[in-house]
Amino acid sequence: MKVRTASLAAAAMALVATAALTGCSSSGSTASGSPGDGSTGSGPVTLDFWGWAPGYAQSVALWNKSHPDIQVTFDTTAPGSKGGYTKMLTAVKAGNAPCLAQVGYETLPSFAAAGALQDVTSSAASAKSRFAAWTWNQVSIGGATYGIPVDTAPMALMYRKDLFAKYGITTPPATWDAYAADAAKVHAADPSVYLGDFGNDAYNYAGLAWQAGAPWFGTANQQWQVSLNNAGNQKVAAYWQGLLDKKLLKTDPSYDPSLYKDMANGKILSDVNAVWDAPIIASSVASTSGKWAVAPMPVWDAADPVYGNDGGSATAVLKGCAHAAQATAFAVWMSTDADSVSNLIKVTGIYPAATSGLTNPALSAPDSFYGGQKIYDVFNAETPHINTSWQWGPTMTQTSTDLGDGLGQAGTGGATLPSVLGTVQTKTVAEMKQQGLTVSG
Amino acid sequence: MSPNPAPQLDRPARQTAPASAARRAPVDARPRARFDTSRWVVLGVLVIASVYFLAPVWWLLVSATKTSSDLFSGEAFWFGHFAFFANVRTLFTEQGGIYSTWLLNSALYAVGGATVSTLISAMAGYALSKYPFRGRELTFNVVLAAVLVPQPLLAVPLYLMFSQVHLVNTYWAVLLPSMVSPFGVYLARIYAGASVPDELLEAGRIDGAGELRIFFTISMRVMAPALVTIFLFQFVAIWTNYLLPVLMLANDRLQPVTEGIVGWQAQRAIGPSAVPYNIVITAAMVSAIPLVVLFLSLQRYWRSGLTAGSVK
Repeated sequence: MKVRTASLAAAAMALVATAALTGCSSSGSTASGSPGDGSTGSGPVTLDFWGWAPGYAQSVALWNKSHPDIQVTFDTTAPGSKGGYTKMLTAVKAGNAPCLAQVGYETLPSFAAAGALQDVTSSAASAKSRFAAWTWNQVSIGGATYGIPVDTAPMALMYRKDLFAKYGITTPPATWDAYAADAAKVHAADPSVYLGDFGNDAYNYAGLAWQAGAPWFGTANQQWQVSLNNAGNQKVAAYWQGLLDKKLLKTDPSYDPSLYKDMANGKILSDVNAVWDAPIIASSVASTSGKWAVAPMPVWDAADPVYGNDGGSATAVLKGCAHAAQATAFAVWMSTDADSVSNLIKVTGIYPAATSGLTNPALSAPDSFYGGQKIYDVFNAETPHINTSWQWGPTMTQTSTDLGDGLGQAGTGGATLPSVLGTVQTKTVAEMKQQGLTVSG
Repeated sequence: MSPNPAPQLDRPARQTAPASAARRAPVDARPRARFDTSRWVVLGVLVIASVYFLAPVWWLLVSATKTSSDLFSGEAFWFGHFAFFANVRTLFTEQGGIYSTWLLNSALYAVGGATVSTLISAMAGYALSKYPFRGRELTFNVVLAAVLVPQPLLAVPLYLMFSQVHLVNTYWAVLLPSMVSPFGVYLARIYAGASVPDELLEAGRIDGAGELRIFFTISMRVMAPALVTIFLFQFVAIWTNYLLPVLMLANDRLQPVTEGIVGWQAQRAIGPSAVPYNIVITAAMVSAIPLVVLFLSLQRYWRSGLTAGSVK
């Protein structure tokens, strides 16, 4: 599922921010047995849950049927980036926030910086082993856990199998070196055809940096660190700038009709994107059904493959929740229970964060758009090798906007990627200081 | 581009031009008269502006008739396979027909809010214009200052206030703030001052009518064009409002249509239950129809009200 950052959250942040990295006190509540069962025997408890994804309501209904002591009410709010996050932050400020909220990984640090999250480290600890290790890092900031992972978005190479063969690419590129060579090969054979597209989606680019182990943010000694311009990031930028300089990539804007038109017409042969993009491509270029396939994302080192991620979200526990332990228990159940996960895969379209979810039968169906391939096998194989160190920052609204602008400029030749990273680094540090956060680097 | 007879009269017919060509006067006239040059420039600018404003509307109209796959292939600005009625049928059955609930909610918020807001504005503007009292100018200036505050800026403070009185997530949370329009008060005052003569009120008072009766039976009728304008402005503002309902409501059955469509749009193509893109576009088009109908039917009054106060 595609979960994006808050464009409105910045405005709310200015109003709500209490400007501290660790703005959360300990919840004080003790873990009540296994988070899996959640029954505390202290009478029926009602919890509110705000989110916007279709399918969440069905999972909540399943929980309510089997857990009479803890009743959850799901309310459909506006999507996070379209005012939903602003609403949640404002409600925390007003003191009438729900216990549970759907929050994208990239936005959790913003919520933490605004002091809007409840520390559930103790009640969530026993569930840690049931999730892919890197996802636990996504819901933990500065050593405290604030929610439970729901879904992830490993990246892969979606490509036109028939046209790869036509241009003499027998195996899809496994490394970025091979990707560059294939890009040159295709473009030499027909100058109007490109191997891939370099879009302007900052989060897609973040997935590339993520894979390369080139961090953007970090925390140490209660301080934020910004490293958008470090050596690792410059390496990634130099690689893509090299392809752009040779005009080996098309530069249609991400998720733009022009991109899908070029894909439908066979002018763009592949896309490196997240698991949730597979159905988007399928519905956007339905006329080419059956001709596509999914291969692992190209890697930097074939001997030690490491992959990137672009998206995913958590069920966060919001500040002021009176029943944080029960809320955590529900969140763990929603992400791990087989029936709930099946529902979320089928209706919401998530790719589960729980390790048990990866073997869910709903992920083993062949996909006719991708020539009958069981495409989730590719993502399942990648999941253990996703870089675990990535951390988002508290300024993603500003950072992603500035980087998106820069990527667009790089695509049209108005700027180079290495210089764009320098600009975004400067602006991000300035934004953090403006929010009153301590930042080094 | 109908030929304008006026410049034709003071222009001697060109000797070389055949009689038939003389009748196509504007074409010949263009390079000669400076008046015509500027007219063409103005016309050109207007045409560019119209294309600029109408192209998205045209795109919306065309796209609402397309199937999902036609949306991304084929011409963006021309029709593909015509599926408009199928789209509308799907639209009104999608997710249990919630779209019609959204439309009704929007109608309730917009009609209710705009009606009350118009009445309040009329009364306040009339009082500020016709009754001298201490602090009148101060009051008016405060209202005037409120015109300058953008509405979205008030959404978060309003939410905090409504939380304290436990009105969030109810119809009132959206209706009450919609009933106040500083701009309406401003417009009503200016219009009342310009169009309701004091002599008329004097005559009413001499005939023994009370102030309320004078207001409702005489003044409001004179102010009708301004009131229609206020109603329209407020209706459009409420119908297109987004941030306020997003903050106030946490129940998709209370949402207005704007919030509903944005919710659908954000889920597009993700998961089998997501609403297809072409249905979202159809939803956007259908949601604009009430505004168009309202504008066309009230256009006559609206135009005469728009300039009210502009020369004051």
